[in-house]
Order: sequence, then C-alpha cells, then structure tokens
Amino acid sequence: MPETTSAAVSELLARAREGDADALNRLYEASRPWLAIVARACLEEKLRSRVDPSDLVQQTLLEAYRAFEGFAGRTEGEWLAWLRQILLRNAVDYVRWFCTAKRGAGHVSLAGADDRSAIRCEPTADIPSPSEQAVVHEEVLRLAQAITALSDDYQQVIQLRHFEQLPFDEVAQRMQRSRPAVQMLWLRAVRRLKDLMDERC
Amino acid sequence: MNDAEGDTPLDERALAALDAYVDALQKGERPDRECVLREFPELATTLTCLEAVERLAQSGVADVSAPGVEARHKAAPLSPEWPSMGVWQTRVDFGGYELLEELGRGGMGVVYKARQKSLGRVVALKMILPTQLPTEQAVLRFQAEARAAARLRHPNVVAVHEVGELHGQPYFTMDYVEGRELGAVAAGQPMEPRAAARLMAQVAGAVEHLHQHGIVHRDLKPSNILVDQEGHPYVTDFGLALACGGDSQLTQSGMIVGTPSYMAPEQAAGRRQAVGPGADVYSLGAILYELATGRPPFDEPTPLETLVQVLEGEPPAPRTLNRHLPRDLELVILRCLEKRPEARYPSAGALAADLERFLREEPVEARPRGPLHRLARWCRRRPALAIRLAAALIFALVAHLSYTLIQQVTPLRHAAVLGALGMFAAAAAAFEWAAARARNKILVPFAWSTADMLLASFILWITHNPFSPLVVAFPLLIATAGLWFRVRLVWFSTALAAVAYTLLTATAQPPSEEAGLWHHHLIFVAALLMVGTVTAYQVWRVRALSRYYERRPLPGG
Repeated sequence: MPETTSAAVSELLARAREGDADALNRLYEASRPWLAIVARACLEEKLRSRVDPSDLVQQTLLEAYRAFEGFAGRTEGEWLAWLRQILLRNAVDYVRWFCTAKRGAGHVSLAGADDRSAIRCEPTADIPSPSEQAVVHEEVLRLAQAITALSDDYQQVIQLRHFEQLPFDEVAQRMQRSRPAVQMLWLRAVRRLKDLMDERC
Repeated sequence: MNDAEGDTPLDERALAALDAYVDALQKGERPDRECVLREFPELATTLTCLEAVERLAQSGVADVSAPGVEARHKAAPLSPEWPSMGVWQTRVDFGGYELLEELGRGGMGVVYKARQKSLGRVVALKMILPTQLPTEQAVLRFQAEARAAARLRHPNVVAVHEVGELHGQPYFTMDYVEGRELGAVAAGQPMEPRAAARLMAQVAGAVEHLHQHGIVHRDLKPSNILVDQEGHPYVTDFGLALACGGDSQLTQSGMIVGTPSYMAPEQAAGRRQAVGPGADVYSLGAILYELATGRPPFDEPTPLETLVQVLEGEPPAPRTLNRHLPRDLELVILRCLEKRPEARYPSAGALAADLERFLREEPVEARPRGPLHRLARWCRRRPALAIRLAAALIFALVAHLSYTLIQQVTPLRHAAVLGALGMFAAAAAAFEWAAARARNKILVPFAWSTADMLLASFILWITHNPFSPLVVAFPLLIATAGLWFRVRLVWFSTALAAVAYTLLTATAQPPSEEAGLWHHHLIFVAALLMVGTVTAYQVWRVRALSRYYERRPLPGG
C-alpha cells in the first residue's frame, strides 16, 4: 500500500487543482478506505450481502473523479464531506434500484412522471451540512486505512460499537456471541489497531 | 504486533471504564482522561486509540444514518434533495438539454426525461450509464442502437430525433411517450382477448417495419413496449437490435443477450446465425401469451431454469390458464411459440395479418397441428411423465413378448409384473398431477423417487431376479433423479437404490453359478454410489452456473 497520506490532503487538493494527475490519484487512494468504512456503515446488513460496499466506493470515486472540476473546497473536511455526500446519494440510488429490482421491475414506471418535472438539483460541491464540517485530522484517513486492514470480526465489532454507536449488549446480539466474548473481541481489535497505527508512524 | 500482549485479559472494571469512556465520547462529552489513567495507567495508548476512532466516527462515518435511514428500510419516495440521478449528472444541464428526471435504466443505458432548450419540447434522452466505464463494445452497441433507431419512421415506433456526443458521452434523444410500460398495463392480469389482439397487431406491424429496414429487435418484452394514454403501443429500446446481415461484430462473443422469459429458443441457445426476424415473432407470441394469460410462457425461479425451459420445455396451453380465451387466439400464440423458426409465422407482418383476421372474426391461418406434433408438444410439457410412460410401455411389451414366446414365467407372476408396470405408470400420472398442485414443491420429487424405487424393487423381487441385467433400473433411476436438479434428491435416490439392492440380493436365492460370488454385489453397490456421486456432482455444477446467472442478471434485463 503506498504511503498515501504523507502529504496533507489540503496540499494534494491544491496540486490536483493545478492539474497534477498524480496528486489527484493519491487523493483518491487515500480516501478510499475511509469511504469504504462510510459505505459499510450506511448499508444495512441484509443489503450489504447484495450490494458490495466496494462497488459503492468505486462508483463514488469514479463520479468524484469526473466531477472534480466542480469541487470548490480546500480543506480535508470539505473534501471528505463532498465525497461522503456523493456516496450517500449513490447509496440511496442503489437501495432504490435494489428495491425496484427485487420487485421484478427493471425500469421505473413512467406513471405520474410529469408532475415531478421540477426536481431541484443543488450543486453538490460546497455546502456540507454543519455536522459534516467537523474538524478532520489527517490521522483520520490513516486510521481508516488501518481499520480496513483488520480482520472481518475486528472490523465488524468496531463498526457496531463506534460507528453505529451500539451498546455492547446489542453488539453481542447482532454478532450472535456472548457479551464477554464481544468485549474481548473489541479489546483485541482496538489493540491491534493501536499496533497498526504505531507501525506506520 | 504483539499477540501475547493482545490477548492479555483486562479485568471487568477496566473494561467498564473503557466502555464508559467511549459512551462519554459518543455523547460529545469530554471524559476525564486523567481520572481513568490514575486507576489504570496501562490504558493510556488504548484511550488515545479510542479517541482517534471516535474522531473518525465523527468525521462523517457515524451519522450516515441521518439521510440514509429511510432508504435503509424501504424505498422511500425521494425528497427533492435526494434526486434519483447519480450525482455527477446532477449538473442537470446536458448540452442543449435539461435533464428532468430519470425514467429508467437497463443493462447499460439510462434514460432521462429531458427538455430540449431550443425547442422547449420534452424528449427522452438515453445515454450509457455514466457511472460505468463503458467498454468499447458497449459504446459500439450503443451507437448501433442509435443508428438503427434513427432509420425508422412508424407510428408505433418511438422516433429518434438526434444522435450526439457531449464530453465524450454518447447520447441520443427520442420521443417522450407519456404513458406506461406494457408490463404495468397488464399487471399480471389476463387482458380482454380482443384488446390484447388489437394491441399486439399494432406492435407486430411496428416490428414488421423494423424487419423491413433490416433490423431485428431481439429484446422485445413488455417493458420495452410503451403504451400511451390513448392505448397506442410504441416499440422502444433497440439496445440489442442487430442489423440483419450487417456487421455483427457487437455480438461476436455469442453472449446471450435478452430477457429469457421472452427469448426465442434459438437465441437462448446462443446460435447467433439463427437469430433472425423469427426470434422477434417468437417474442411477440410470448408477450401475447402473457397478455392473454397473465403470465409469461416460462417463468421459472432462476434465469438458468427459464433458459432450459425455453430451450426444451413447452408452456401450459394458454386456454388452461384463461378459459375465456378464444381457440383461434390460442392457435395464433402457439404458432408464434413454435420451437423451430420455420414453423412460426414467416414474418411479423403475417402475424399482424392473422391477428387482424381474428379481430374481424374470420378464421385464422394458424391451424391445429397433426396428432404427432401434438404428442411431441405434450411430451415436452410433461417430460417426466412421458419418459416413465414410455419406459413402462416398452418393459410391458418385452415382458409380454417373452411370456408368450418363451413361457418360462407363470401366468400369476406375469400378471404381477404387468400390474407393477401399470402401477408405475399410474403413480407417474398421479405424481405429475400432484406436482402441478402441491404446495410443497420439494416433497413431490422425493416421494416420486421413492415410489419409483419401490416399484422397481418390487418387480425385481417378484421376478426373483436381482442377478439379471434388470438391475440396471437402479442406476437409471438415480440418473433420472438428477433431472430434478437437486443434489439432495440424488443422494437420497442413491441411498435408496443401495439399500433396495442390498435387501434384494440378501433375500433372493442366487442361481448356482452366482453362488458365493458376493463381491459382485459389493462392486455393484460401489458402482451405484459412483453413479450417484457423478450425478450429484453434475447437478451441483449446473446449480453453481445457475447461481452465477442469478447474481449477474442477463444484460438488458
């Protein structure tokens, strides 16, 4: 794995905007693990088996790549908020597509089409919502990378406890294990994560 | 990377402290780090790590549920902030067009409702899914579609206005038809037969127009036929259209394209050369079948099973599904659905003409076929029953012949053999009847297999002859069980056969020359197990293929 975050995201952004293709690529590679985590978090479990989160990430990066010119932000926070917004729209799209596909209708019906003709389409680039403007440290991307390198069990327990913010009782239920077993798993996951982060320093 | 350290257990209190720490972080509080460290100094790095994880969570991972949550549970109607268009095209300006709404997407294309700014008219704009990196093949196929469609002018064909390219994104525009897909109009209910005939006569006329311009649609199905508010149908989506005799580079791969339920057998078989206008005639017949009966001719749970049925099966006679269907219309449908293209209507125009004849209440051209053809059709519809009846008949003939010529058998035993064969046939008929009606579709094949095995054992038992070539019935029945495509059923039959054979040989008195050669039986049982294994393996392979198609729906679907 290339050491993707050695340059700060804001610097990569600036260089990418000047047409540095390499910087743009590194930007996307650095953001991929983080997006993967967001993707996993936003797809419900039963959907995750049907929609591959990595497809969602791939598609998001592809769209972001094409639309990069339209992105006006400068900071890492704005960048991630933008990517996240694209990903979430794609997720909604996917879910909708998945639900229609399941109903057996390949196409969306045309009925009642005309009364929704005035769909408002915001420019997607520069209006992250307040919660999305939280300060983002560069470390976040590195941590995301480390998390995606964990085993599936570890990733799942971290996702449930931290990203879905469930108490351990519920985590245990979801993972169909006892509460002490899940807590032990969690502890190991955190320690392993710590090791991974130390290695990369 | 110290696994020994990684496994050091923590005492309950330390764990509880960590948990409380995480809870506090998640509530947005600032927990007292020093306080925890005073009691558990070894947790310093763990706390740092947890803080980092929570920062990651707050970087946009944890609150994803906010907008996504309805979508996670159901396909909620999308609010204006969440248009169904992929994000990058939400720059709704597309050249001289303004994209208004996504109308639908297929295997590789997406169709938008769009306003042409210069003329102020509303059109349908189709492009390759912008989220996919289009392969060269996809672009070629897309351009072929545009070219094919641009040549057509027919009141029942969606007209193409403009073919173009914007920022390397090929697109074309066509009439926007205010209406619904035929599939939505029919909605799984049989249509009034005359209305269905009237509609399909127009569609067949449009398809004839395509054919006259050298275009085979190849993907006719209810969702590719739009019906406007006056009830006029329009043929659309030439995504798979192939110019007859034209450069067919696009489908060199022989890839199966199309929707299996409406696909002609020659197309399902991937015989590219054989796919001509006749394939469209078949699809028209399949659509008419669905309009007349409320279901497509073949509608199996998986695409692969549907393909198999299209290739060799026979759909239920339309009139068994809709009693009110006129006999003539059924004849028209069945003629379209003939397996051999030569046996169908020679052209879509001929089909349209015959439908017109039906509408004028004149006798139709399609005639009932001869008894042999009807027998063949019946056999295709009920292959399991047909093969058993044939087997019973052949065995009965041979048994009777040997009885009259050789006369080694007592009349009583002969009657018993014939009776058992008769029961075999009757059981087959009963199971066929049950299979069509049973709620538990899985039980029937198991019961059927068991009955077959029992009757075969019975015949061998009353002939006292588990040492004759007749034992070939056992491997035969195992192979037959494989035709249900269930691995477990194959194992089940294998086990039954092995048990039945063992019991027979243990109880029967061997002829003198076989006495003491017990290892022959071992060889035979081993061979039975091998037959079972091989059959099960082949079934497993077919099912693996089938699952592959399930996950990757055929393009165009």
